[in-house]
Amino acid sequence: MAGKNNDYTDKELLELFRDSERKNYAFNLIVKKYQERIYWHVRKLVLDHNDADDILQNTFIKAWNGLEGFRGASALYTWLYRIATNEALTFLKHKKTRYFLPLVDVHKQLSETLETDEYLNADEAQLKLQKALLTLPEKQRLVFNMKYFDEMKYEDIADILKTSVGALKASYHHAVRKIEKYLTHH
Amino acid sequence: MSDMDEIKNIAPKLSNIKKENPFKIPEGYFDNFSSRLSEKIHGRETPGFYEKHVLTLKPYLVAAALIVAVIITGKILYNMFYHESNIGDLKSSEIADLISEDAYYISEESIMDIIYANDIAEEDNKTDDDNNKMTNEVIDYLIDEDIDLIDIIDAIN
Repeated sequence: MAGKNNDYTDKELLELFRDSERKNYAFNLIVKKYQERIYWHVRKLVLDHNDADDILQNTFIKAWNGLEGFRGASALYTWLYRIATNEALTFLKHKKTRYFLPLVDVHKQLSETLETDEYLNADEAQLKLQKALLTLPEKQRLVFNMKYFDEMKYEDIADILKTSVGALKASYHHAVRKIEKYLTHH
Repeated sequence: MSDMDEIKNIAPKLSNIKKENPFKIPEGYFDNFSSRLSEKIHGRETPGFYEKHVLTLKPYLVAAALIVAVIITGKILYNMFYHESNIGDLKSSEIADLISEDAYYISEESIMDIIYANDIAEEDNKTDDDNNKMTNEVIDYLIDEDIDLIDIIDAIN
Protein backbone atom coordinates (compact mmCIF):
# COMPACT_ATOMS: atom_id res chain seq x y z
CA MET A 1 0.00 0.00 0.00
CA ALA A 2 1.28 3.45 -0.82
CA GLY A 3 2.80 5.41 1.98
CA LYS A 4 1.72 8.96 2.07
CA ASN A 5 -1.35 10.94 1.38
CA ASN A 6 -2.51 10.94 -2.19
CA ASP A 7 -0.03 8.40 -3.41
CA TYR A 8 -2.82 5.97 -2.66
CA THR A 9 -4.53 4.43 -5.64
CA ASP A 10 -8.31 4.62 -5.85
CA LYS A 11 -8.49 0.94 -4.96
CA GLU A 12 -6.44 1.52 -1.84
CA LEU A 13 -8.52 4.52 -0.88
CA LEU A 14 -11.68 2.48 -1.21
CA GLU A 15 -10.22 -0.27 0.98
CA LEU A 16 -9.28 2.32 3.57
CA PHE A 17 -12.77 3.78 3.41
CA ARG A 18 -14.31 0.38 4.16
CA ASP A 19 -12.28 0.18 7.37
CA SER A 20 -14.70 1.92 9.75
CA GLU A 21 -11.89 3.32 11.89
CA ARG A 22 -10.21 4.99 8.94
CA LYS A 23 -13.30 5.94 6.99
CA ASN A 24 -13.03 9.69 7.65
CA TYR A 25 -9.35 9.72 6.89
CA ALA A 26 -9.85 7.87 3.62
CA PHE A 27 -12.68 10.12 2.54
CA ASN A 28 -10.61 13.17 3.29
CA LEU A 29 -7.89 11.81 1.03
CA ILE A 30 -10.42 11.16 -1.72
CA VAL A 31 -11.69 14.74 -1.43
CA LYS A 32 -8.17 16.14 -1.53
CA LYS A 33 -7.33 14.02 -4.54
CA TYR A 34 -10.33 14.97 -6.67
CA GLN A 35 -11.64 18.31 -5.39
CA GLU A 36 -9.76 20.46 -7.89
CA ARG A 37 -10.55 18.44 -10.97
CA ILE A 38 -14.20 18.15 -10.04
CA TYR A 39 -14.40 21.82 -9.12
CA TRP A 40 -13.07 23.03 -12.47
CA HIS A 41 -15.29 20.63 -14.32
CA VAL A 42 -18.32 22.07 -12.53
CA ARG A 43 -17.16 25.68 -12.60
CA LYS A 44 -16.84 25.66 -16.39
CA LEU A 45 -20.44 24.58 -16.59
CA VAL A 46 -22.08 26.88 -14.05
CA LEU A 47 -19.46 29.69 -14.26
CA ASP A 48 -20.21 31.25 -10.87
CA HIS A 49 -17.81 30.30 -8.07
CA ASN A 50 -20.44 30.14 -5.32
CA ASP A 51 -22.66 27.89 -7.41
CA ALA A 52 -19.69 25.68 -8.21
CA ASP A 53 -18.82 25.54 -4.51
CA ASP A 54 -22.35 24.42 -3.60
CA ILE A 55 -22.33 21.78 -6.31
CA LEU A 56 -18.91 20.52 -5.27
CA GLN A 57 -20.09 20.13 -1.69
CA ASN A 58 -23.25 18.33 -2.78
CA THR A 59 -21.18 16.06 -4.99
CA PHE A 60 -18.95 14.96 -2.13
CA ILE A 61 -21.85 14.66 0.31
CA LYS A 62 -23.52 12.31 -2.14
CA ALA A 63 -20.24 10.47 -2.56
CA TRP A 64 -19.94 10.12 1.24
CA ASN A 65 -23.44 8.69 1.43
CA GLY A 66 -22.99 6.39 -1.56
CA LEU A 67 -19.40 5.28 -1.24
CA GLU A 68 -20.29 2.44 1.12
CA GLY A 69 -22.24 0.80 -1.68
CA PHE A 70 -19.75 1.67 -4.42
CA ARG A 71 -18.45 -1.63 -5.76
CA GLY A 72 -16.00 -0.24 -8.27
CA ALA A 73 -17.87 -1.13 -11.46
CA SER A 74 -16.40 2.11 -12.83
CA ALA A 75 -13.31 3.99 -11.74
CA LEU A 76 -13.73 6.19 -8.68
CA TYR A 77 -12.99 9.39 -10.58
CA THR A 78 -15.50 8.42 -13.29
CA TRP A 79 -18.11 7.87 -10.61
CA LEU A 80 -17.34 11.24 -8.96
CA TYR A 81 -17.36 13.05 -12.30
CA ARG A 82 -20.73 11.51 -13.05
CA ILE A 83 -22.21 12.69 -9.76
CA ALA A 84 -20.76 16.17 -10.28
CA THR A 85 -22.02 16.35 -13.86
CA ASN A 86 -25.52 15.33 -12.83
CA GLU A 87 -25.48 17.84 -9.99
CA ALA A 88 -24.37 20.64 -12.31
CA LEU A 89 -26.92 19.80 -15.02
CA THR A 90 -29.67 19.53 -12.40
CA PHE A 91 -28.62 22.90 -11.01
CA LEU A 92 -28.88 24.53 -14.44
CA LYS A 93 -32.21 22.85 -15.05
CA HIS A 94 -33.56 24.13 -11.73
CA LYS A 95 -32.30 27.58 -12.52
CA LYS A 96 -34.27 27.44 -15.75
CA THR A 97 -37.50 26.16 -14.17
CA ARG A 98 -37.24 28.24 -10.99
CA TYR A 99 -37.38 31.47 -12.96
CA PHE A 100 -39.45 30.05 -15.84
CA LEU A 101 -36.63 31.01 -18.14
CA PRO A 102 -36.19 29.71 -21.65
CA LEU A 103 -32.75 28.24 -22.33
CA VAL A 104 -31.69 31.34 -24.23
CA ASP A 105 -32.30 33.49 -21.15
CA VAL A 106 -30.37 31.14 -18.90
CA HIS A 107 -27.45 31.53 -21.26
CA LYS A 108 -27.98 35.28 -21.25
CA GLN A 109 -27.91 35.24 -17.47
CA LEU A 110 -24.76 33.15 -17.44
CA SER A 111 -23.25 35.53 -19.94
CA GLU A 112 -23.98 38.43 -17.60
CA THR A 113 -22.39 36.43 -14.78
CA LEU A 114 -19.24 36.30 -16.88
CA GLU A 115 -19.23 40.07 -17.32
CA THR A 116 -19.51 40.75 -13.60
CA ASP A 117 -17.64 37.77 -12.13
CA GLU A 118 -14.94 39.00 -9.77
CA TYR A 119 -13.32 35.58 -10.07
CA LEU A 120 -12.80 35.77 -13.81
CA ASN A 121 -9.55 36.94 -15.29
CA ALA A 122 -10.12 36.61 -19.00
CA ASP A 123 -8.78 38.67 -21.85
CA GLU A 124 -11.17 39.82 -24.57
CA ALA A 125 -10.70 36.73 -26.71
CA GLN A 126 -11.18 34.36 -23.79
CA LEU A 127 -14.33 36.18 -22.73
CA LYS A 128 -15.62 35.91 -26.30
CA LEU A 129 -14.89 32.19 -26.27
CA GLN A 130 -16.79 31.76 -23.00
CA LYS A 131 -19.74 33.61 -24.52
CA ALA A 132 -19.52 31.41 -27.62
CA LEU A 133 -19.66 28.36 -25.37
CA LEU A 134 -22.86 29.66 -23.84
CA THR A 135 -24.57 29.45 -27.21
CA LEU A 136 -24.15 25.66 -27.14
CA PRO A 137 -26.70 23.28 -25.61
CA GLU A 138 -25.54 22.30 -22.13
CA LYS A 139 -24.53 18.75 -22.95
CA GLN A 140 -22.60 19.88 -26.00
CA ARG A 141 -20.85 22.48 -23.86
CA LEU A 142 -20.05 19.76 -21.39
CA VAL A 143 -18.51 17.54 -24.06
CA PHE A 144 -16.53 20.45 -25.48
CA ASN A 145 -15.14 21.39 -22.04
CA MET A 146 -14.11 17.85 -21.24
CA LYS A 147 -12.45 17.27 -24.58
CA TYR A 148 -10.99 20.69 -25.40
CA PHE A 149 -10.00 22.09 -22.00
CA ASP A 150 -9.61 18.96 -19.85
CA GLU A 151 -8.16 16.96 -22.76
CA MET A 152 -9.95 13.84 -21.63
CA LYS A 153 -10.11 10.75 -23.79
CA TYR A 154 -13.35 10.08 -25.61
CA GLU A 155 -13.52 6.69 -23.87
CA ASP A 156 -13.40 8.30 -20.41
CA ILE A 157 -15.98 10.92 -21.36
CA ALA A 158 -18.17 8.14 -22.73
CA ASP A 159 -17.89 6.34 -19.38
CA ILE A 160 -18.86 9.42 -17.42
CA LEU A 161 -21.69 10.53 -19.67
CA LYS A 162 -22.79 6.98 -20.47
CA THR A 163 -22.83 7.57 -24.18
CA SER A 164 -21.00 6.22 -27.21
CA VAL A 165 -17.64 7.48 -28.44
CA GLY A 166 -19.15 8.04 -31.88
CA ALA A 167 -21.89 10.28 -30.51
CA LEU A 168 -19.30 12.22 -28.51
CA LYS A 169 -17.07 12.79 -31.53
CA ALA A 170 -19.99 14.07 -33.56
CA SER A 171 -21.10 16.32 -30.70
CA TYR A 172 -17.60 17.71 -30.19
CA HIS A 173 -17.04 18.52 -33.87
CA HIS A 174 -20.41 20.12 -34.10
CA ALA A 175 -19.56 22.26 -31.06
CA VAL A 176 -16.20 23.30 -32.53
CA ARG A 177 -17.81 24.43 -35.78
CA LYS A 178 -20.47 26.41 -33.94
CA ILE A 179 -17.90 28.14 -31.76
CA GLU A 180 -15.76 29.01 -34.78
CA LYS A 181 -18.82 30.47 -36.49
CA TYR A 182 -19.62 32.58 -33.41
CA LEU A 183 -16.03 33.82 -33.16
CA THR A 184 -16.06 34.76 -36.83
CA HIS A 185 -19.27 36.78 -36.62
CA HIS A 186 -18.76 38.53 -33.26
CA MET B 1 -3.55 14.01 -37.22
CA SER B 2 -3.76 15.01 -33.54
CA ASP B 3 -6.88 16.55 -32.07
CA MET B 4 -5.23 19.98 -31.87
CA ASP B 5 -4.05 19.85 -35.48
CA GLU B 6 -7.56 19.01 -36.46
CA ILE B 7 -8.88 21.96 -34.48
CA LYS B 8 -6.37 24.26 -36.17
CA ASN B 9 -7.69 23.16 -39.53
CA ILE B 10 -11.38 23.40 -38.88
CA ALA B 11 -11.37 26.23 -36.31
CA PRO B 12 -8.39 28.58 -36.71
CA LYS B 13 -9.96 31.39 -34.64
CA LEU B 14 -10.62 29.04 -31.76
CA SER B 15 -7.12 27.61 -31.84
CA ASN B 16 -5.66 31.13 -31.64
CA ILE B 17 -7.27 31.76 -28.27
CA LYS B 18 -5.19 31.03 -25.17
CA LYS B 19 -6.26 27.77 -23.63
CA GLU B 20 -5.52 28.99 -20.11
CA ASN B 21 -8.18 28.75 -17.46
CA PRO B 22 -9.60 32.26 -17.08
CA PHE B 23 -11.48 31.52 -13.86
CA LYS B 24 -10.12 32.30 -10.42
CA ILE B 25 -10.99 31.09 -6.95
CA PRO B 26 -10.85 32.77 -3.53
CA GLU B 27 -7.50 32.40 -1.81
CA GLY B 28 -7.07 29.17 0.13
CA TYR B 29 -10.30 27.77 -1.25
CA PHE B 30 -9.02 24.24 -1.86
CA ASP B 31 -7.04 24.22 1.40
CA ASN B 32 -10.20 24.85 3.39
CA PHE B 33 -12.66 22.92 1.31
CA SER B 34 -12.26 19.50 2.93
CA SER B 35 -12.62 20.88 6.47
CA ARG B 36 -15.74 22.84 5.46
CA LEU B 37 -17.11 19.72 3.83
CA SER B 38 -16.30 17.61 6.85
CA GLU B 39 -18.16 20.05 9.11
CA LYS B 40 -21.14 19.88 6.81
CA ILE B 41 -21.15 16.08 6.64
CA HIS B 42 -20.61 15.49 10.34
CA GLY B 43 -22.83 18.40 11.25
CA ARG B 44 -25.60 16.48 9.54
CA GLU B 45 -24.85 13.43 11.62
CA THR B 46 -25.07 15.34 14.91
CA PRO B 47 -28.59 16.50 15.66
CA GLY B 48 -29.56 19.79 14.07
CA PHE B 49 -32.02 22.27 15.50
CA TYR B 50 -34.99 20.21 14.37
CA GLU B 51 -33.71 16.94 15.79
CA LYS B 52 -32.40 18.61 18.93
CA HIS B 53 -35.41 20.69 19.90
CA VAL B 54 -38.48 19.78 17.92
CA LEU B 55 -38.04 16.01 18.10
CA THR B 56 -37.13 16.13 21.81
CA LEU B 57 -40.19 18.18 22.60
CA LYS B 58 -42.42 16.14 20.30
CA PRO B 59 -43.94 13.87 23.03
CA TYR B 60 -44.73 16.89 25.17
CA LEU B 61 -46.17 18.79 22.21
CA VAL B 62 -48.34 15.80 21.38
CA ALA B 63 -49.50 15.53 25.01
CA ALA B 64 -50.31 19.25 25.12
CA ALA B 65 -52.21 19.00 21.84
CA LEU B 66 -54.21 16.06 23.22
CA ILE B 67 -55.11 17.94 26.39
CA VAL B 68 -56.27 20.94 24.37
CA ALA B 69 -58.28 18.63 22.09
CA VAL B 70 -59.94 16.95 25.11
CA ILE B 71 -60.83 20.32 26.65
CA ILE B 72 -62.31 21.64 23.41
CA THR B 73 -64.25 18.41 22.80
CA GLY B 74 -65.54 18.43 26.37
CA LYS B 75 -66.69 22.01 26.06
CA ILE B 76 -68.47 21.28 22.80
CA LEU B 77 -70.21 18.22 24.29
CA TYR B 78 -71.14 20.14 27.43
CA ASN B 79 -72.66 22.92 25.37
CA MET B 80 -74.56 20.38 23.26
CA PHE B 81 -76.13 18.44 26.14
CA TYR B 82 -76.21 20.70 29.19
CA HIS B 83 -76.27 24.23 27.97
CA GLU B 84 -79.46 25.93 29.22
CA SER B 85 -81.49 27.94 26.79
CA ASN B 86 -81.23 31.68 27.05
CA ILE B 87 -83.18 32.46 30.15
CA GLY B 88 -84.22 35.83 28.77
CA ASP B 89 -86.32 34.01 26.19
CA LEU B 90 -88.51 32.39 28.86
CA LYS B 91 -91.75 33.82 30.19
CA SER B 92 -92.18 34.45 33.89
CA SER B 93 -94.53 31.51 34.29
CA GLU B 94 -92.03 29.17 32.62
CA ILE B 95 -89.29 30.37 34.90
CA ALA B 96 -91.54 29.82 37.89
CA ASP B 97 -92.26 26.27 36.76
CA LEU B 98 -88.59 25.66 36.29
CA ILE B 99 -87.73 27.00 39.69
CA SER B 100 -90.52 25.15 41.46
CA GLU B 101 -89.22 21.86 40.11
CA ASP B 102 -85.75 22.44 41.46
CA ALA B 103 -86.38 25.12 43.97
CA TYR B 104 -84.42 23.59 46.73
CA TYR B 105 -81.37 23.13 44.54
CA ILE B 106 -81.17 26.70 43.26
CA SER B 107 -79.61 29.51 45.24
CA GLU B 108 -81.34 32.79 45.77
CA GLU B 109 -78.71 34.52 43.65
CA SER B 110 -79.52 32.30 40.71
CA ILE B 111 -83.18 33.08 41.07
CA MET B 112 -82.44 36.79 41.11
CA ASP B 113 -80.38 36.44 37.97
CA ILE B 114 -83.25 34.65 36.27
CA ILE B 115 -85.77 37.26 37.33
CA TYR B 116 -83.58 40.17 36.23
CA ALA B 117 -82.83 38.50 32.94
CA ASN B 118 -86.50 37.95 32.34
CA ASP B 119 -87.22 41.54 33.25
CA ILE B 120 -84.76 42.89 30.72
CA ALA B 121 -86.07 40.63 27.97
CA GLU B 122 -89.63 41.64 28.57
CA GLU B 123 -88.77 45.33 29.04
CA ASP B 124 -89.83 46.35 25.53
CA ASN B 125 -93.15 44.53 25.62
CA LYS B 126 -94.36 45.23 29.10
CA THR B 127 -97.72 46.83 29.71
CA ASP B 128 -99.07 48.74 32.70
CA ASP B 129 -100.43 45.48 34.12
CA ASP B 130 -97.05 43.85 33.83
CA ASN B 131 -95.48 46.72 35.67
CA ASN B 132 -97.84 46.10 38.52
CA LYS B 133 -96.90 42.44 38.67
CA MET B 134 -93.24 42.63 39.41
CA THR B 135 -90.77 45.44 39.93
CA ASN B 136 -87.23 45.50 41.09
CA GLU B 137 -88.30 47.15 44.28
CA VAL B 138 -90.65 44.30 45.05
CA ILE B 139 -87.94 41.76 44.47
CA ASP B 140 -85.51 43.69 46.61
CA TYR B 141 -88.11 43.94 49.30
CA LEU B 142 -88.76 40.22 49.24
CA ILE B 143 -85.09 39.47 49.50
CA ASP B 144 -84.55 42.02 52.25
CA GLU B 145 -87.40 40.54 54.25
CA ASP B 146 -85.91 37.10 53.85
CA ILE B 147 -89.05 35.80 52.29
CA ASP B 148 -89.09 32.09 51.53
CA LEU B 149 -88.26 31.01 47.97
CA ILE B 150 -91.69 29.51 47.48
CA ASP B 151 -93.27 32.86 48.29
CA ILE B 152 -91.08 34.58 45.74
CA ILE B 153 -92.17 32.07 43.12
CA ASP B 154 -95.77 32.74 44.01
CA ALA B 155 -95.16 36.45 43.69
CA ILE B 156 -93.77 35.99 40.21
CA ASN B 157 -96.83 34.01 39.17
